[in-house]
Amino acid sequence: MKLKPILLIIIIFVLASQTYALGIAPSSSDVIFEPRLEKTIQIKVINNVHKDFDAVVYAEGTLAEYITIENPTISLSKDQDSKIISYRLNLPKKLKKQGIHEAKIVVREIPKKTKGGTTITTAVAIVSKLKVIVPYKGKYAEIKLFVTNFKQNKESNFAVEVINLGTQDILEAKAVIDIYGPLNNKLETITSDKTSVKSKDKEILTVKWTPRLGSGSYHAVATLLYDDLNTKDEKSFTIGKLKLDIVSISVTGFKLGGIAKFDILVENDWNMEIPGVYAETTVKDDNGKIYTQFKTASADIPDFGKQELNAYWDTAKVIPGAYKFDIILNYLNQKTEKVFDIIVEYDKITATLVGKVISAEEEEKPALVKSVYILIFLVVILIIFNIFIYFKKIRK
Amino acid sequence: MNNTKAFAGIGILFLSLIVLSQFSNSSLSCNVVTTCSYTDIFHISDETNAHAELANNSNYNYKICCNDTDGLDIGNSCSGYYNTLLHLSNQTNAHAELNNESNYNFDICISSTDSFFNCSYESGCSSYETCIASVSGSTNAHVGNCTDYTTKICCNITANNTAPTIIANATSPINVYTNTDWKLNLTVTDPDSEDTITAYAQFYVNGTSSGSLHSLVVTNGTNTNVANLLSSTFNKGATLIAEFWAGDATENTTKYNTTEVTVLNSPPSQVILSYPENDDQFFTNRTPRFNWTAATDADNDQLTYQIQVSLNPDVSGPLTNETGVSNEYYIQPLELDFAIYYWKVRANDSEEYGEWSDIWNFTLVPSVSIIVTQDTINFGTMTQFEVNDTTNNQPAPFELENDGNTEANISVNSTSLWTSSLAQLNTSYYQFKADNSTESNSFDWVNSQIIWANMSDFYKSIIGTLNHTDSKDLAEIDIKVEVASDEPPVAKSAVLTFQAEES
Repeated sequence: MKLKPILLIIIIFVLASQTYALGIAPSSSDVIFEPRLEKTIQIKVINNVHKDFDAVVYAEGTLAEYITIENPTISLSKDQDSKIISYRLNLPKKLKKQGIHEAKIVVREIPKKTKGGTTITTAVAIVSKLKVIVPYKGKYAEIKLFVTNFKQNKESNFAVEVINLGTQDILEAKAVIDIYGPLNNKLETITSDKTSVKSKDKEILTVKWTPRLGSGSYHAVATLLYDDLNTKDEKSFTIGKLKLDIVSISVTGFKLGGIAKFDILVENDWNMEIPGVYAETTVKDDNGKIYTQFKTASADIPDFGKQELNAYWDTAKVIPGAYKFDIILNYLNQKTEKVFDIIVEYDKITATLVGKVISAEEEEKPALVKSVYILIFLVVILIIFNIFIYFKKIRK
Repeated sequence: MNNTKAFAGIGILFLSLIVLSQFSNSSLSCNVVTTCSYTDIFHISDETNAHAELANNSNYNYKICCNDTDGLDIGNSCSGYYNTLLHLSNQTNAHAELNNESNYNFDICISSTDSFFNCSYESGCSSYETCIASVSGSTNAHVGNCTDYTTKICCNITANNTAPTIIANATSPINVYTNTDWKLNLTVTDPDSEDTITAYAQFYVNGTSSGSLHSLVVTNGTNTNVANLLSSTFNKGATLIAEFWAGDATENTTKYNTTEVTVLNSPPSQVILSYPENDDQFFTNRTPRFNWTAATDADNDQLTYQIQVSLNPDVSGPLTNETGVSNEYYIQPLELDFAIYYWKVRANDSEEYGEWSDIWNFTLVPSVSIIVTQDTINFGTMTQFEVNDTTNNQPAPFELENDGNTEANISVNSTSLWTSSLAQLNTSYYQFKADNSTESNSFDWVNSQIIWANMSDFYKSIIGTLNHTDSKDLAEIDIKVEVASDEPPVAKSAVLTFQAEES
């Protein structure tokens, strides 16, 4: 019975901290003007936190007078992910100004009742913009550059969407794409085939490209040359995948019982410096028992360069033998992990990447095995020595 | 039991009919004539109670004359294919004896080069036999026409057998896969139209016989599917041969082999797309996970997939062209720009590709979606001149998250909070500003309201360009309130509206 009030408090708390949310798609739509164009446009109201709510829908802006909202009030229940609503666009015979005319379709949540004290309650309104573009006199094109994640030496495509927003047809258009490196140095230029684009029409120009450049971030600037005019768009893109590699680890000047310094060599195959790289290291045995964990200092790894990170291990209580050295590199919200087998001996630590075959020259008996041999040898010597002492005493 | 007997009876009757049918068409015709236009077998001195002479003698006028209505060759030679009808005591003016006697040395024979005779002594010739003549006893006998004596010489002629011929053989299909049976068709002809023709086939997979011998009775001259090798008996790369021949129960053809075929790789099945749904006009995920159902492969080969995503309806000039995808999905690594996308997928079994899937499309549209992580700020009961704000997190500020797929501008307005005439909207008694949240750099600091601004009943910009990437899409909205000197001590409330639109 005592649980009931607690439950009630929890429910009130949950309700009190309710989130408010609303989404809309598309958040913008483009329509090319045509006299007396009549068109029904749909938009999707998204109930992204799944709650019951009511909302009003209205239009505002210079084109509001040409818009009729079919359902000015809407209700969504918590079971509904979304709701499609419509509005009717009835354009006039003429819009004086060429270019973009805008209206906003606003979906505004009707707020719930407010509470006591000095309270400020929120409501959310979202906007779907309608852009009516009156074609420009003469020739006028806009372009949009589409890029992809390229791979080295593998052909892929840039795409340039050309929209003719002029009143005249474009007789000849071609896209020229300049590719720039991180230092804004132009590296390559590629060109599309030529095409023509009718007024108010759209064309896609595809430009094939096989990157012969190193992995990294690049920038593409597309220029559309059309009937002695031009227009541009630009985008950044990548070739390959950003990834740091742990090339090797080594330990120099080691004596068992002292501090072992691990030099972790990290390679950056990207065309930009990777800042703030650090490693988290863990030494454990085959049973998973952890002996030490260490976080290295951060370092910036130069583009296409290598850099050492240093990890340390106090081996005061460490016995010679085989261990695992786990390295996790952290950089730009990414991680690279590698595990090395390490053999700790009295005067050295050797490391091998897990799974890598050790060459004949490298193949040595583990230190632990060596130690066992030494111990057996000492025990045998001791036994012989004791027998010798024993017989000596008997003789006496 | 009765049924069994009945069936047995019917079977015997049926067999008898078959046997009879073999002989009922006996085409041999023999008569006693004085002028023989056909084959003269031997001569007799009279139609009854006569002596006999060999055909190469000419002392008697009555001739036993035979012919075959089917045109089979008939002779009187006692070499080659022949039957001895009688022994004579002499070349002419002779007594006769049956051929199982051995007193006389002159033989009367009936022969053929293209058929064989079956002759016997009967008391009466059956319907499938032809009577040649009759004799009075077993030796030292007289000869007469067929009505004269009770011992008749009955013969029947059967044409020599001709082996069937396989005039056509074909296997199908031309390209054999592990999910198709391999069929053998034969066309066999036999000039002996009465013969029952049986075709035989034995399949070999990789040189080893597969299954038992197939046999099938076929129609003369008709192309017949004789046997099938089931697809379950062979794998990709296997070599297939069929050995075949035909027989007519008397004679078989030689054995032949078909041309060897190799079982080809079966391409994977056509992929069926599942997500993003076809023709989705309101698709908002800019890094979608393209899903499809797994293709199948008759050879059970491991499959990978190729996906192409393009702006063109025929998926030409693809922006994404990934091969070797080992899962039944592909996650778009970089954000797609807003456009209509067309995509298709096909499977590969390391030897060849299957058919492309249907082309699906979706329209990636910009979406603005705002989440306010709490619906209310409660400053509690406030007294005259008291000032409070949310910068110290007591009470906590509003937090705004951009849950859409594009950058958003946020503006804010509010209803009036205070009743005091001094503290109406657009005064410092009720203010707002934007601030960093735990996800710093989520918005354009320069173009946002980061110092206190008076709240208004019309929308005022508060955040410029709020990011939409998950790690940087959260901003704080601080509220500051101050109680005017003449504010009555009653509960106050206002409704603050955040309006979000695409940047």
